[in-house]
Amino acid sequence: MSRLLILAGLLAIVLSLGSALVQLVRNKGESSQKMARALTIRIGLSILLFVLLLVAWQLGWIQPHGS
Amino acid sequence: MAQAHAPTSTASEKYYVPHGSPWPIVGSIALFTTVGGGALWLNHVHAGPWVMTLGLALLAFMFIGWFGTVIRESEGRLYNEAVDRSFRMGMMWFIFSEVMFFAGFFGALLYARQFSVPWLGGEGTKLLTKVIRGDTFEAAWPTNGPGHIGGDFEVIPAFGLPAINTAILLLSGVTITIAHHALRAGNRKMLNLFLAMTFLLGFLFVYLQATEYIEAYTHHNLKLSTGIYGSTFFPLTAFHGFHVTMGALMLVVIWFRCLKGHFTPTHHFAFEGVAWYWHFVDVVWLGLFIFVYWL
Repeated sequence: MSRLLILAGLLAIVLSLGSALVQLVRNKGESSQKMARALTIRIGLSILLFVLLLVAWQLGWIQPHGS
Repeated sequence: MAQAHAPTSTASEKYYVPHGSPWPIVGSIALFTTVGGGALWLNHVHAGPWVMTLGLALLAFMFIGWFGTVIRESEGRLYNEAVDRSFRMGMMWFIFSEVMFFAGFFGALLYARQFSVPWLGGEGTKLLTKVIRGDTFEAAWPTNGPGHIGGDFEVIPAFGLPAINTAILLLSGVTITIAHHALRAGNRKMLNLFLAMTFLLGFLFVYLQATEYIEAYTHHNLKLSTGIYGSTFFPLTAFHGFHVTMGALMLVVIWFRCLKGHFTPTHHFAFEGVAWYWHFVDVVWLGLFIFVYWL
């Protein structure tokens, strides 16, 4: 379950990054603003995933390799 | 080349074609010298490292020169919408090649973990392989395989330098985002400050990564030659580190341009391209941190 959540989080991050790239290439109307917004979402989700990873480890839900 | 042309920005459909640029041939010679030097080095030819160093120096010279030319042309308003489109398409294909590059390394890791190591452990239809080989290898990860190549080793704990490095890179993602919003808002002071913080955090990341490698080699007996684990761990993390270095250098270039007053709140493709690239290397690291150290 934790594994799936982590993968889903990573997928959401990749999608927001990809959306920013689409806006960068399109460059129409509000593209620049949309790109900046998508990248802000990207970093927000990444920090959230990292914090959740720490919490899951603290709660014993997941263990890193070699531990 | 830049000064030889009248501004073409008014003729929006005409494509600006630079003439007489020396940089492509300089770049070709630089790459040939670098790789040739590397090949000589691998074949224990004494001059190899020197030839390679010369090639790298030439490559740096080419980058500085070519970047300078493009910047001068851009600031000279020689580029029109057609050129702008080509820059953006170029960025897309460059990123496509980067995604394929990392897909290859992540794919190797996935194949080893999900297929070849379990097969060597006798999983599924490969049971006969294990019986014929007659060893007692049980599939597990991390592993250096049935041959125990490189001897006993330990992996780097996720909650040492890797976690600190992740936090550093994520923080640099925050600072580049703040710089991005500052540029769009016309706040140059904040832009310059947070952009500088971003590349400094990038260089700190690379330094800590080097420290981690030294620790791996000296205290964990984890080396490039440590079976399948070492030969997937080091290329993945090292190529990522190389990308961080390149990204940080590109950020330095953009920072100097910002200090010189380049870019406007509405026109700043070079900044956007490098900022996106920085987010990209950040996401690759996050994927790496999760797949190499956790899952």
